[in-house]
Amino acid sequence: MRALKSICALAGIGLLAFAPVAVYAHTMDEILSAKTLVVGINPNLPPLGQFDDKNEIAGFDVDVANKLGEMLGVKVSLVQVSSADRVPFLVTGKADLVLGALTRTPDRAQVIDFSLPIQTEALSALVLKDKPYQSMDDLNSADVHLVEVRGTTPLDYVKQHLPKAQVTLLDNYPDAVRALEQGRGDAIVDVVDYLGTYTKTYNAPTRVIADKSASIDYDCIGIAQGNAALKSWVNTALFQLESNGFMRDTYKKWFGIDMVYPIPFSPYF
Amino acid sequence: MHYVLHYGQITSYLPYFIEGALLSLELSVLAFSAGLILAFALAILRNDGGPIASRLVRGYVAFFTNTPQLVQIYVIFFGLPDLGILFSPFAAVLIGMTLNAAAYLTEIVRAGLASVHQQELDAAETLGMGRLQTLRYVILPHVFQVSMPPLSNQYILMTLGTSMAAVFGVEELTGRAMNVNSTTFRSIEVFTTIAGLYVIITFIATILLAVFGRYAFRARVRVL
Repeated sequence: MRALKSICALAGIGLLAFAPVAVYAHTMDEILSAKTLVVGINPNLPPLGQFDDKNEIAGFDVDVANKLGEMLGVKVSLVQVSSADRVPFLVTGKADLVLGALTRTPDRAQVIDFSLPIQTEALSALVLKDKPYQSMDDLNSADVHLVEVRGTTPLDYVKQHLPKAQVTLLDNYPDAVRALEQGRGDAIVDVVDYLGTYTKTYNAPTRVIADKSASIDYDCIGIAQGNAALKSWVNTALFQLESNGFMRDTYKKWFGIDMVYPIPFSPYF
Repeated sequence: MHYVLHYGQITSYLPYFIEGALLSLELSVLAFSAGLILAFALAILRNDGGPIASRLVRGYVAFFTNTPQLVQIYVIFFGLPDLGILFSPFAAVLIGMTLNAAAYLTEIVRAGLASVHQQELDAAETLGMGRLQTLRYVILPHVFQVSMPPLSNQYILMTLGTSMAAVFGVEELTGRAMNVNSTTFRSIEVFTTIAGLYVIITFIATILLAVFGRYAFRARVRVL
């Protein structure tokens, strides 16, 4: 009889797991009383997030997330996200905050809220050393093969400024850089800060083509839309971390360099 | 839940999706056809190729049916270039799918061959049929009729399996859906739309397969 009861109980729990649950992001009160902040991190995006020797996710984003959790006095629970599902994770309430180089765009702002910027990104190109290309304009040619990552903003730049180039889309950055190294493409148009990390990791000789006229993207922490209390707390905390040097030191620790385009302190932000 | 469906936002992508569906269909039809031809050769080797060839085929089938297709294509796409063999994304996926399909289809074809009775072969010989005539008018119709349901199943699985080509830079239906999803964030609308398109392309191909069987081998088979 007891066995039967526990089987019924198990079945009940099983059913609950499949029951449709209304999805809402956690409010500030819920986060504080549960003592858990759920943060989405991309583990395929070094140095923001990557698996370390202990098979735990580590990186710039993880340090920032843990610092925020420490300041709020709650435990940080990391969930893995990929470039393409960062926004859906917030929209469906699967994460309270999402990092992973989330560029602030009006399209995304229709469905989620953004914190103050924590990082800047400007585009450049990683090319194989023996290729003849010297400037971004040289890459706008039908015999140039670009390797890019699905669902990322450099694709818009490529569509606008390099429309003649042929593009192969891969799933993540390691695959894209590997494909470039193996000769599946001539260049990757992406952000110079990350390219520095990859040239160290892979053997093929590469160089960087910088584009001084490139527009700068501002990457923020994504927050579920309408979560005003959480957003205002995150912004206040970020201001403090920016002022006391935590952000600068953490960036340098993971990227090896200072941010190429520092975030300007201006009332506009 | 305050989600309002907006299929209107993705209707402009429909031609883009249909192009991707055709690419998926192309991939599955090519891999299935090439896999089926390879499977016939392998099944015959397995049955009548002597002990060594037979063992090799068994090893091949065991290896390819017991490893994930994704892993197999990764080896071809990212592994072989290190040995100096570089296939285009489409070719790499097509080769991977063909090798994988051939393994499953070998067993299906072998079951079909086993269903041909010795008396039928004897009768064909008595009627003065040559080897090719026997194959064309006795063996193949039999194999096709018996194997149609598992062949259709395998074909449908393969068509759905083409979705993994997106990982390797082939812009088929799922890859395109991911592209549109990452700019519109209309996940429900995008993925239900392509789900519908997958049903349509698998259905079209199953009917084509049945029609081919009907006219080539007079094999009466039900599609639904």
